[in-house]
Amino acid sequence: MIRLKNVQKSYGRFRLDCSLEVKPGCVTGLIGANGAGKSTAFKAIMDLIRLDGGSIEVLGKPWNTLTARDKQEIGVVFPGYAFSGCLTVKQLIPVLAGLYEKFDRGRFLSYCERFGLPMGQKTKEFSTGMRAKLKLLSVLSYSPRILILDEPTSGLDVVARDGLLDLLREHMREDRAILVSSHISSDLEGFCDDIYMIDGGRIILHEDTDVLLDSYGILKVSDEEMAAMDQQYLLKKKRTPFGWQCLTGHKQYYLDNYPRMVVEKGSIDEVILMMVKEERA
Amino acid sequence: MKGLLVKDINIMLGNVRAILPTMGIGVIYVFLTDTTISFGMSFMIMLFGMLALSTLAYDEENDGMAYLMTLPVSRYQYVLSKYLFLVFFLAVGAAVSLATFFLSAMIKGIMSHTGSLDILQRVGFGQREEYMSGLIALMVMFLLNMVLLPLRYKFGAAMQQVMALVVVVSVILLAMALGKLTKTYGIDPDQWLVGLNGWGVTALALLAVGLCVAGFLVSLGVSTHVIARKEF
Repeated sequence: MIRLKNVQKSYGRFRLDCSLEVKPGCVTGLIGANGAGKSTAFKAIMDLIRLDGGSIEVLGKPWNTLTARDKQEIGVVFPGYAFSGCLTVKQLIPVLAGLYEKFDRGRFLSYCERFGLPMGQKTKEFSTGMRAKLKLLSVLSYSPRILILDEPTSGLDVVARDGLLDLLREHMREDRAILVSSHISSDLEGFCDDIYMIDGGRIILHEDTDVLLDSYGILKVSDEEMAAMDQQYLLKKKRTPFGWQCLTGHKQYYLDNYPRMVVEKGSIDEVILMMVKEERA
Repeated sequence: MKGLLVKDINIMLGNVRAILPTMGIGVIYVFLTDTTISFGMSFMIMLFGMLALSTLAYDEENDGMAYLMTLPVSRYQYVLSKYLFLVFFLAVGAAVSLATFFLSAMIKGIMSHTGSLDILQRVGFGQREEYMSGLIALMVMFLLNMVLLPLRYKFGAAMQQVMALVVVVSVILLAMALGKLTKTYGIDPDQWLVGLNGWGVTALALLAVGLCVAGFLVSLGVSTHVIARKEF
């Protein structure tokens, strides 16, 4: 439903050069450090910036050929305000109703009540968390087929995040898709079907979340163990005071063949740190 | 596009209180002096025009423009909605200014016991020249906004004031240059204006409308071109 093919964009010394795909029925995560290129990739998808090369398709078409009816099926959440901060939630209702045919006023109101959003208060007076909730609830109220979410849970406490992620899970169908970026890896672990890691404008890893959590691991070995072990399945390695810390995508191989070796389950954060910072094995 | 117009109208409704003091000053000025219709109309229209342009600032705050470009409207429709809103708001400004002016003159007439009709006649109601001046004021304010809007899109809020100053100074310099040229070639602008006066209200109104429509279309085209090429 979203396809980026060899997309290139340069800003001074930064260069985005990536390919990714979001399939129907899937939630795809894009994770990376600040300045890695996540927001640039999102802006490229939505034709907010001109590309230096490559192609992007949303719903099978380039963004600039999408009709207004096609765009009704796309929901976008950006950092910052969605609409002017001087509008109240109540004033947003006719705005959304005038833009989206499928906007469900009743559902929007029930969401606002459920998440405690005051109807008569200007959105610029909202806390960061309240604004984040409002943006997400607004897009969910017209049931788009594609959601493009750039840091949607930023600023939310764990309870609110959990509630909103539940809503996103309820939203998912076979003909829908979500592309989401986040710094909060625990959100992505429990929510995404597959994850792209981006660093320096390039995709450095793409894996199904299940495989990432089950098969990826961190090996902690001494110099002797490092010299003796089979290194063909090592992705990255890092010198430590005790010896070496290595990232592998075949944790089970090392568990089976080196029973005395310290093999830890790798969280997404640890995998990112190893992929981004450490030298190739 | 309907949603964008509703957005701008709601923003303006929220800012009505901000313009009331300025309107009040205008009403008091009209009340205390014998100022004429053309001032009353141009004052309010200028105020309403500035307010309409201020919706751009609200669109731009906190990266809002990037979000607006993802809505189910084309960039052209976004620009068109802003122009239609501006035209609507200027028309409201003209109506409000005329009504305010009329009301002030009536009250003045009642309070001064000189008769409302006398007051109205003194400030120009019923006088063709005054309506012509008012029409010209409306046209000038409209065309000024048509010049400012594409500059706003191109250069953003920070540079808008500078650009507005450049435009005003350019117009003054152009007028001075035209004045010198007409003298050089022996053309008398006063005679030309007198000739224009003989056209009739309808013809002059049609000319003004034509100029406004032309200005609207050119400005809309330029703004659309600017926004179409912009990165967010």
